[in-house]
Amino acid sequence: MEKVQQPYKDEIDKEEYIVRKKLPKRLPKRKNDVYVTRRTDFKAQLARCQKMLDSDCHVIYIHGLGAATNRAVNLALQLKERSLGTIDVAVNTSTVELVDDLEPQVDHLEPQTQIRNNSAIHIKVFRPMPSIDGVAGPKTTGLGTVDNAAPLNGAKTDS
Amino acid sequence: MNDPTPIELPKELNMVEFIESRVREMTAMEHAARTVKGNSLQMQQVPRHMRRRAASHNVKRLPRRLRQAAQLQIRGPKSKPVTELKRPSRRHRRRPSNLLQEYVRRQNKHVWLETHIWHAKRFHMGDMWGYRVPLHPNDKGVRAAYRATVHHCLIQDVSYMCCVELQGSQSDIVSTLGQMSSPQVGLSVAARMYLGGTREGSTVLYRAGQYPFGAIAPVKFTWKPTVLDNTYGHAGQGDAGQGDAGQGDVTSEKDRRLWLWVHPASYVELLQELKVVMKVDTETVTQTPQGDGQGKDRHSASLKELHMGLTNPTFSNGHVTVTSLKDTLVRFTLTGPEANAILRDALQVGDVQVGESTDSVTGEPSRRWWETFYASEAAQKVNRKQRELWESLRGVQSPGQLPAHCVIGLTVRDPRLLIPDKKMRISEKPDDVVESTFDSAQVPLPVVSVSPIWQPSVRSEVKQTKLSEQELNQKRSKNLVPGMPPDLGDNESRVPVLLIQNPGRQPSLSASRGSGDTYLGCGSGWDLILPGGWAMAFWVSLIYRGARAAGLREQDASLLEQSQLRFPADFPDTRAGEAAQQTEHRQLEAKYKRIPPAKRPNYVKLGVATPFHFSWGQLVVEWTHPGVSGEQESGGDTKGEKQVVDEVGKQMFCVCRCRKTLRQLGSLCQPTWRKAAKKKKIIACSDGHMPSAEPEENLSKLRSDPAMFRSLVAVQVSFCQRGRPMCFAMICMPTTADLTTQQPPGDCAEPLHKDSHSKLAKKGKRKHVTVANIKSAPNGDIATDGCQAVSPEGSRCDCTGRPLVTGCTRQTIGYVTHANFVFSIGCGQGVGFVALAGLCTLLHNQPKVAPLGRQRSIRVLVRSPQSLQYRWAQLLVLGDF
Repeated sequence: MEKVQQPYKDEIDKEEYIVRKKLPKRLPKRKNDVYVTRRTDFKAQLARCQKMLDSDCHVIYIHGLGAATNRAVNLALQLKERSLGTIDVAVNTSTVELVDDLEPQVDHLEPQTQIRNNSAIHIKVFRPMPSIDGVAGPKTTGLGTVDNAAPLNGAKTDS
Repeated sequence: MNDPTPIELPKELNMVEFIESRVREMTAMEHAARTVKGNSLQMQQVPRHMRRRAASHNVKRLPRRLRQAAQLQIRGPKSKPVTELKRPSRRHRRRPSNLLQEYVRRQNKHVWLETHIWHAKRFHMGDMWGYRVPLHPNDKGVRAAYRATVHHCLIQDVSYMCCVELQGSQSDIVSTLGQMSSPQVGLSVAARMYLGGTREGSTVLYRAGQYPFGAIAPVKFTWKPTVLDNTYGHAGQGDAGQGDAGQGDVTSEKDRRLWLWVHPASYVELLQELKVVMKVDTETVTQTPQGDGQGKDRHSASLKELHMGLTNPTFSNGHVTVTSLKDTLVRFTLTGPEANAILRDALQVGDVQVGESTDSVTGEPSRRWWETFYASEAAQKVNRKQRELWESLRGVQSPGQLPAHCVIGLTVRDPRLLIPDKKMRISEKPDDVVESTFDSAQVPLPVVSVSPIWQPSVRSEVKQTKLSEQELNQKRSKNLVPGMPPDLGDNESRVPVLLIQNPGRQPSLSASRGSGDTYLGCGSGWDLILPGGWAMAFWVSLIYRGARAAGLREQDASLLEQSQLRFPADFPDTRAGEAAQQTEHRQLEAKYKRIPPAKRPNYVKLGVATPFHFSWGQLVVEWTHPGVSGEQESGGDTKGEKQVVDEVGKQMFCVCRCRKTLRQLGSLCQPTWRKAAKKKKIIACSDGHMPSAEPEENLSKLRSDPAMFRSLVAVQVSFCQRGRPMCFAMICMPTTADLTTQQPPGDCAEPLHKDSHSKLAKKGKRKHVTVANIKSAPNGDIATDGCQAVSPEGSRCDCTGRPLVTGCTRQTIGYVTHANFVFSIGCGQGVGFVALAGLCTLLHNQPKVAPLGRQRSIRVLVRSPQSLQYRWAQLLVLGDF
């Protein structure tokens, strides 16, 4: 019943429990959210973001969790480099709580959960417009920090 | 001519003699006049100018003298008069009563699911396991189903799964089922994880005392939560406020219920075994006999009984009562991330407040079931908790985030009232963009899993009080504002449902970590359990919210994506699996024989011993007694070995489901060089010896256990490069030469075998040499052929006598049972079984240092039965968690 707070990996007896990872809690997905995975082809991800930026989306958000952080950064920088200076990025990091199930291997044990933390990155890639108000503002969801970053970075960019 | 001798005519003629000598000619002539020559019909005999087009349609176009004969030829001698052949008019057939009668007649052989008519319009249907089940949709392929699983929601009606209820004290139920299972397989029914009823468990049941042999089937089970037991049992008193959650007190320990869900292919076997274990005579089984009347009455009666659940057997030994709930519950499987949103929208918690319960017009004391059930404060609290939880699940993006296998009970409104007026996609609903408040770290509470669906009386009342479509439509038409749902108030049905989470793909422990190829949570979803009679109402409401329907083919594909085994096809050690395999064998062989020899693969030349079935017994025997197969020349005691074959060949193999063994094997399948590097013991050992003795010990321990050694291990093979494996493909052990020169991957090929009988077949057209004979005959060209030693006469197309293991240049260790291209990984993948002895040999022969390439796991060669090409594949042990 009780939560186990961050036991060391080696402390869990493999004869008693096995650790099962679960899907991370996901935020609601808007059209301009890109969740980067290491499984998807990088080129395809790049093309998808480029296509979004070239169409009516002027702001996209690239999210990367854990080991996918590098990829997310790489993706954003590639987009910036390709755009010849018409695109800017604003970066935010956060910590995501991940829940693992501890599945008992013997009959007399209760199932438990453990909570891990993992770092995540949220990159706002946007095309600075003369009037930023014209951009469809992102809805206020869990990504409040990213939204706050927008005007700061947007102001200092040159078009 | 020039000198004709004078002929003297006889003076007299003896008539009798004359006729006698000509009788034969006369009868021949008479016969010829009576019979029609050749294949031509009577109407084709008329002279050309008298022929008429479409004379077969209308016989009167022929001359009158020929009509009778022509009529006979057209319709056959036993033809009935034309008037009886006529089909009744559509108008007649479509009358509700006639239609229903026809439906009843058609359900005689195979039971229909409640959603049958919906499916029959859109799906290919098949007769399986006594049911008529949807196989695959007419308009969509497997890829569409995959897309639905990954991005949307796939729904399947699995109501054919049979539920068996066990009732009795907890210890009795546990001991009953304890005889039929083994603690080695995994968590049992008695595990604390499951006893509270908050999670659904699964295990494999065996015939009593026969483990590891004699598997029956995999089952899923759920305990009934004990929370409201004492209050509902005496609902009239209703004062009991002791709904203390999770505290199963003594009274509730005595009366517990367990639902076992088993596949219909082994339902009968399970019930029989339960009777054996409980020591119940078959005579004492109280089974309501089916009506013996004739025609319509009988059908309607039996169907009615079926729906009332009366025909289902019940038996008891005084401690445990087993009740079959076959065909009385409905089960849907929803997979995919949108499953949550769709269910959230379709299932709305009903109002069960009893406060203002005004009795019906007559004022009679008959109360609705929910007024009785939710009379106590504790029950109301349960309802509140469930409602809160269900609200908090709003905005959860995928069912994979929830606790695995958790059970949620709900009492919901009639879904027909909430149905959208047009088919829509749930993601288009604006309120979907909400962050969920659900805390996925919380452990499910027993309060949430309580459901009135466990009560038979509630189930039958919910079914009987269901408003018919007609009544509902009448109420709708009386609405003042068209399109609005009618307000039925207390007359609206409240339907108890159970929701069971399914975590989807869970990575195997031996899968390489961190490689990202585990695809966590793929295929996660919900199972929805409803009382009988409500399937269509819920089905349509889910479909209208964008769920996409699937059949058996899609289910198989989805299981392959999750690298799980199908039942019964992938359980070769069960009777159901064996029967399924025999059916498939017969079909494939018949199909093969229909094709002309030049147009079909010659499996002798391809060196495939069993192209249409798996002979697991022989495979295991050949691996455990390596002498048996190819030792003809050594002489010795072939007789004794033959006995071994006879004894062991009779399904004397088992599938290893012992978790400990599987985990050991899984860890052995990780390359040793990796472990060695981890321990910073970099030992250069190019000569092929193990760096540490520990895995070697494990291997030898495995070899020493005779029961384990006669077993098969479920594995997954995924192709490293192009191509996809096929069913019946051989999993082979690479030779040392293969392992050292692995770089050009396409080089391993089997040389063409010689078919010594092909010439004979060509010559012997007059003798009709069948393929079966050719194949079963010994093949002298294969080096280590010992078929004569084992079975000299051979039997059928499958050349049973050929050695399976050593028949080709690479030793066969197992076979692929189910394979295809897997979309989520992007490569060909399959599941299959290998002989444990073969696997141990394979592990022993692996190179102990890292090769130049990125080798992640054990590699094997896989060869499809129609090809000579060996392809490299990664081998992974399944079920090692």
